[in-house]
Amino acid sequence: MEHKVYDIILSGLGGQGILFLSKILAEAAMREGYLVRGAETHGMAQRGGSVIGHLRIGDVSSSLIRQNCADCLLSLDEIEAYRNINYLKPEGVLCVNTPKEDFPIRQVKEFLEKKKIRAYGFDCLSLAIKEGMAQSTNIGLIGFSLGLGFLPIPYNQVVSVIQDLSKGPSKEKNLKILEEAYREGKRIQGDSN
Amino acid sequence: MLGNGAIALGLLEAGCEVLTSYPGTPSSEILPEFIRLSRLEGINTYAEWSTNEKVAFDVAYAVAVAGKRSACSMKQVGLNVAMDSLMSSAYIGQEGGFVVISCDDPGPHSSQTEQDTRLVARIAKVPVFDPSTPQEAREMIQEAFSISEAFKVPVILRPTIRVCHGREVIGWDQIRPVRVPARFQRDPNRWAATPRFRYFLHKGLNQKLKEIQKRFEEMGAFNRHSMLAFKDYPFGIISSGVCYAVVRDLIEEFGRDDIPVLKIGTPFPLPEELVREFLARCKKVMVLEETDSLLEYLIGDRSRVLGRESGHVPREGELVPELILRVINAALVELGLEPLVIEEEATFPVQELNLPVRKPRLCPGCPHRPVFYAIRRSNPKGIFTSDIGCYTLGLNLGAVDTCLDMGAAITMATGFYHAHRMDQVDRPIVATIGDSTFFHSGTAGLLNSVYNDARFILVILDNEITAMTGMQPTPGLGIKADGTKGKRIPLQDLIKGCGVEYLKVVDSYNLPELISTLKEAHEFTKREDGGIAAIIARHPCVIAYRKEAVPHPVKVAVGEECNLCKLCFERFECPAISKDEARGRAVINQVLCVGCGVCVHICPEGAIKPIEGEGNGA
Repeated sequence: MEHKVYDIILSGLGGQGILFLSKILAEAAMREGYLVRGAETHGMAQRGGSVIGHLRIGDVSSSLIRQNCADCLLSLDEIEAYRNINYLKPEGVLCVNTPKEDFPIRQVKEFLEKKKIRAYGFDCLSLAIKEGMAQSTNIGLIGFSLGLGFLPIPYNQVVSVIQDLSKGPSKEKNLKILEEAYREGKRIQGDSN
Repeated sequence: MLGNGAIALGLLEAGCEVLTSYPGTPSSEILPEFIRLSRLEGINTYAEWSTNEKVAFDVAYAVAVAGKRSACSMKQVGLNVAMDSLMSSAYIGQEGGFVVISCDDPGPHSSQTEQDTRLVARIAKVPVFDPSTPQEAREMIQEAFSISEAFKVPVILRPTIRVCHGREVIGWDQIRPVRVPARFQRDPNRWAATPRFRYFLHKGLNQKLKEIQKRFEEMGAFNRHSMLAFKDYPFGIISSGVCYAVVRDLIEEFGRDDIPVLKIGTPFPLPEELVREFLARCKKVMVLEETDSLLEYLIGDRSRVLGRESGHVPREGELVPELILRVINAALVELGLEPLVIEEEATFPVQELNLPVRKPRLCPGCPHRPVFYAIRRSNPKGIFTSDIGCYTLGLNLGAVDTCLDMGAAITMATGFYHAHRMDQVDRPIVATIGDSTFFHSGTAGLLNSVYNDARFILVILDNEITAMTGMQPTPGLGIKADGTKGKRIPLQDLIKGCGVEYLKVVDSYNLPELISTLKEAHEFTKREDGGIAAIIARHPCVIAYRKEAVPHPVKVAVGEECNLCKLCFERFECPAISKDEARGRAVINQVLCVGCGVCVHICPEGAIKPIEGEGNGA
């Protein structure tokens, strides 16, 4: 990792599985030998409202990421992505679960371009529903991000974490969602190169 | 590991044998982690979910009076409930180490107030530790127990939400079990001291604080500064808690060793010598602390201090990193010193996007939803007092008017009744309170209401769990904190025991019966020989017990009768229903829908119907 610290903001709505998403990434980063700090949202805010999580990979003291400093923003919801857009640093990466073809919206495009922020959208929900696992949209978003290749965590490490953390029949389905989303990310990345 | 896990680990490492608690964000995970780690390490401990924080405090305190190390954990407003105990126990002290963990919530993210437990420690005259990271919280617990035991005084550990719900890599070696035999020594002059002796106890406490202060001066692990010897500075920072972690990152990121930082891990009693030395060598000093000001108040001469009193630091809200950067930067500019950043990065005006506010809502299939809907429908002009829990979100259904503190649904209903009765104004009053909250502090209020002949409808929303804080069991369920069977205390018996004569139990999913029972209950409150009318609206929490809550899911769809009156997704506010822009009618989100089938009964047009052959309509 070139940076001293790699900062990830996670956003979405309560109940979409941000805590689990954060746990998978944190665990994978730890297994890669990184120090990890995170800040989570529990309690009242979990009931369907806007939720944000911070994940810091590297040697730092505080668990909170400053605005304008996040290397990437992973969002399970498009609106929540815009709400937290100021966390992204110049040349950061925005990665969002959205069914929309014309993501991102017109109003933010100029800002993103000026700040050289790359934005990627993928319909992780539909992919998860296809496997009968709507609650695994978060796994799809991880796979997609890994495919795009900006996270400091290798794909295989995440596979092994999901193998250990998922239980029962959902394990195979989760791995399938992860792989398909990963391929999609790789495909998009290949196109843009 | 979660910060609350690190705290639990610290307790076990310190030989804490007993932990008591009442759940409340951000403290709730400490006790389950204490139980999990005890099992994992094969350590014999006792942990309980107590009925409220005062109860938790007293139980753990007595354990320490008997000589064992013990602790109680709660959220900051929970400590208000235990305030009586805290004040008195500070005078009396105990034999074994006793640590009170009170978790603060700057923001606030999930609390009624932004109060600062460190100020409470000052009022009660007990020492307080203020950790800046999970690992430091774990280390401070060891020191907190030593101080508590050496000086026979309760000690507070005050982590904030970013410590409790922060995640950090934490490893540990095998934990050495500690067993101190319980040996209560009778000494009525101490344990039951009368006011005459309390004066001497107070004097003794003040003396202890002086000696603890000396210990804190030398506690370099938690109180230290980064000044070089024989050097003076134009600007320095005094900080404690999570703010310190942020300040430290900033100093490192911008390579500003020219700004010395004094970290205070034990804000009360304040290590004054250390602070005096720091102040003497800095022209100006900024104080950064959460949630309120304590260090700043304790610094007698504030002529060199930049903080809340001087208007340099906001008086409310969380001190997030971008805010801390901004206030330090502004101070540096004001003092004519080199700022951290010359020009701030341009931000996007997010407010111009008019993004919808996503407030928390009751879950799809939540059993509270039909109850609030029925309350609102049967008493549109009523006064709706409510309480603390998921069901505060009944706000969104227009069936919650007040939410003060734990138990206030009942006590405020009583006050509203008397206020209107004495003016001969008849307004129906419906109080809603959850099962766990009722066990916490409902009975004292209810006894008072019955005794003083108040008249209102009391609806107990019994979902058989403490849902908001993460699904802790209740006395009504009869399951203990460690998952073993306890004695079950039926709500019905408790309510009847309070002298309530009208009591009905209704299934929360049964909307028609809810409405008819509410009407009947209202009549009872108006009868000459009537009184309080209590209804237990019972249905398992759909998150905690999905199968029991919805044993036979009803798959529903919106038919063409729909005239888009929006009642189902606006007033009934089911998150699984929304507007189908293309077809101009409501649409069910089959992923979110749990199949409770209640919406079938609320649609005025009868447009929401079970889909034939899919599940069996319950």
